[in-house]
Amino acid sequence: MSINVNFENVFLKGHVSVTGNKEKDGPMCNFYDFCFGDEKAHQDTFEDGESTMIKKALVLLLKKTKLSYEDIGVIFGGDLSNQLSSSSQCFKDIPISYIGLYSACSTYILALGLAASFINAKYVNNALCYASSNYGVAERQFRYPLEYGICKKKTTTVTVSGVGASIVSSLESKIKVVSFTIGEIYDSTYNNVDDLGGVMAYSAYKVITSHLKKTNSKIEDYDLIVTGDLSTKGSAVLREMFKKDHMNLINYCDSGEIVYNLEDKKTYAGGSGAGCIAIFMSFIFSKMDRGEIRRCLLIGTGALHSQTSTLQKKCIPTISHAVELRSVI
Amino acid sequence: MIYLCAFLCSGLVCLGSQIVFDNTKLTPGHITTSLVCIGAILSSLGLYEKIISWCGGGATILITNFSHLLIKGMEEGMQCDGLLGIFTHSLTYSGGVLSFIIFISLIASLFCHSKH
Repeated sequence: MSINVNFENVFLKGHVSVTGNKEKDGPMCNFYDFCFGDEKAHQDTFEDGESTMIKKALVLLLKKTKLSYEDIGVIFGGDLSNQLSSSSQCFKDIPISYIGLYSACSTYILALGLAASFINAKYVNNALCYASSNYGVAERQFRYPLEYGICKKKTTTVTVSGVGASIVSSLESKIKVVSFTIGEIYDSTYNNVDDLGGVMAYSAYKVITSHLKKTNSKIEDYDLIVTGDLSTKGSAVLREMFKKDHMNLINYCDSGEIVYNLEDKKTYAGGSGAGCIAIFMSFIFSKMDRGEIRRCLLIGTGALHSQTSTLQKKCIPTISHAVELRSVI
Repeated sequence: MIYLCAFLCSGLVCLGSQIVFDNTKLTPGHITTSLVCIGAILSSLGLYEKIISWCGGGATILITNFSHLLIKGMEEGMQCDGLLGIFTHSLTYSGGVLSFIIFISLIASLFCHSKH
């Protein structure tokens, strides 16, 4: 049984997205704060590039919210590299308490939920949550190194190179973090690493239904329901699942479907990765800030895929978390 | 006529490989090794020579031809040196292909960078 936590006075103060060049060509490009010219962010390795992007996001976010290092109580977040090495390399020079999280592509939502819990419990006044992913790092870690030059399948998703970071605060602002549903791990009985969107659809379905039940709400109550990175394939599966339950998934979109220009053949089934929903959050933030979206449900979907366990013929477990935001203008 | 046969022969192999690639979890590595094995079986049964006579270049540029050359060398080795000849002659014909690939990759690796 997944639990649901409600928050009293927790607000989203600011959001920043930093991306690579491929995302810049996508339809959401106007909402990003900074785009690097390549995935390596002008560094020698993909890992260094990822660290640079995280640091850039942190600096921009502090500037945007007019805060300094001392104001931030704790940082929640992580990336997709082994042992979160890109994040540790980035935060080694920054004197703020740090909690590294790994929840695959649902890291951003988990970080947001945990930061909100800390604020709600009055442990700190401001917390930073972020998630980052990098195409080169993720390809090497979860599939094949880019140098191998493998042909991709149509259902493959492209890992977003980007960082999304937000400040969660106890000081009142226009966007309120209302509630957080922590998902359970669901064993998908599926081990196709080329179609992670389809793998994650069921766990997204579980967490949405559980959230609706716990908060006594209906799909129609939300102005926007966003899933993390189900891609074109996974979101079709999710829509089909709700249709079977005689519920019409209206006002729904998947950030993986939107982040890239899908007419470009090299984006295959869409975007994925921890950074996917984190950079899409820029769009949601600006819309909610202006009151164009009043109530929004964010679902982070993560395939807890490990290359070792897949080679040992194990299935890919998946997890999803949900956070509800409300505009209080 | 041989042009049409060559086109159809290579095309069918590529079509089959693409169908396998799209519908299974096999990687390109799996598929090329399978093609090498299929070539070896056809060659051992004496069918590959016939396919070459019908299709010419359509059969010789494929990866299956590599295993055909291996088998051809082995057969000759068997005839002149006996059982040991299978091992000593296996690279008689295919050696040229192998050394070409190795040297070209070496030279390419000095000047080229991977793109994605």
